[in-house]
Amino acid sequence: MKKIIIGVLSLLTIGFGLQVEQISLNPSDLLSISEAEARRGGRGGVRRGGGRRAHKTVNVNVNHRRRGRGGAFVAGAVVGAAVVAIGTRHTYLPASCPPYDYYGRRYYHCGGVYYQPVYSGPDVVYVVVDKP
Amino acid sequence: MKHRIYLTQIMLCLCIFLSPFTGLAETTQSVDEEALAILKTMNDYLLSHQAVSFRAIENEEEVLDNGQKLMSSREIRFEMLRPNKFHVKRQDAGGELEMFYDGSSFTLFRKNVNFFSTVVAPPTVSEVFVELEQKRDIQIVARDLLRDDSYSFLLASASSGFVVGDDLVDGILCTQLAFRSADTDMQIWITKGAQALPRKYVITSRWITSAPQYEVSFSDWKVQDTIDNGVFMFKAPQGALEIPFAETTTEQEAN
Repeated sequence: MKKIIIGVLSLLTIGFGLQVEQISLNPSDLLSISEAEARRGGRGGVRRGGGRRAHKTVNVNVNHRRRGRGGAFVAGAVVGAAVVAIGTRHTYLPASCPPYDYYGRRYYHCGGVYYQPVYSGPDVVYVVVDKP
Repeated sequence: MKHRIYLTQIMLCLCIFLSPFTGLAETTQSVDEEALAILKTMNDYLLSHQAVSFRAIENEEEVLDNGQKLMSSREIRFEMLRPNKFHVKRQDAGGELEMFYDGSSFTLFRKNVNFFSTVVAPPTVSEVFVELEQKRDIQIVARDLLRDDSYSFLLASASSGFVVGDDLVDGILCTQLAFRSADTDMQIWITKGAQALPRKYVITSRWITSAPQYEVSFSDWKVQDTIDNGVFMFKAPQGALEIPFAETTTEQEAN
């Protein structure tokens, strides 16, 4: 009986020891992974890893790719009747969306939606806004 | 005899149990004096004149949720007049982006859409670099090498560093250095002699899945006393419109 107990304890200890060996991540890395955003290479800073700022990702293709900047991927156009929430951002305007100028500020208006161009990081994005 | 066997087994269990913990803590390493001296020579030369300019190619990796890595590239033309002016021209697949800092304001301009945005900026280049990164999600190329306190800044970050040896970059013989900080590994290739300049700079984010890298290759360095001040002033072209410049948020885009 004692041999069985010691054998089981030994196996449990070995198993636990192997588990502990795998937990060798920097604790803050869990935050980067769990945010499910693009994780970028280091940005030229010795201290900083790019992934720590994953929450600042700008251009998000909900189906496939997430790019932090450059804005140079082909995204599906915003189509017709879908409800577009205020505050959502688009890399491109819908096709043939005409400008709408309001007291010197530039907007675009099509499909019942108003878009305001803004710089977000180095990229221009079009933010859905309320009617100006 | 039985007790000795039990004791042996218990000691074995303890050894196995405790052994992972001895591996968790990183051993403290030092920064090699020769590596520091080369880094300082480069920093001193970059600071020796007020005007600095170069061309660069940035290659940056990003990691998808499935661990797959993608790389994007940018070509850059950078000009700076210490302590408070710089101009960047950056070409990527989205077109050309220009950035102007004239000592009091910072402007972004994309000519393919003819939009610009101007905001009030801090009084020095180093402070602008930090504010752009922290509040506006803009990373200026090799900013850690260009700030006035670059040497002390890098030294404060490094837990270890050493001279790797000689290596060729674009046919130019350089000394390769390697440093490690808490989150990243840094490698830098520096030309030889008193007029030491960086030719290549690589940052590896080793705590991120797939350890993505950021790489910059430099060329056409000019380190001189003066530069045409006009390059730092933004003049809005005909028809250019001013738009807002967003501060960093956690909003996501729809596409």
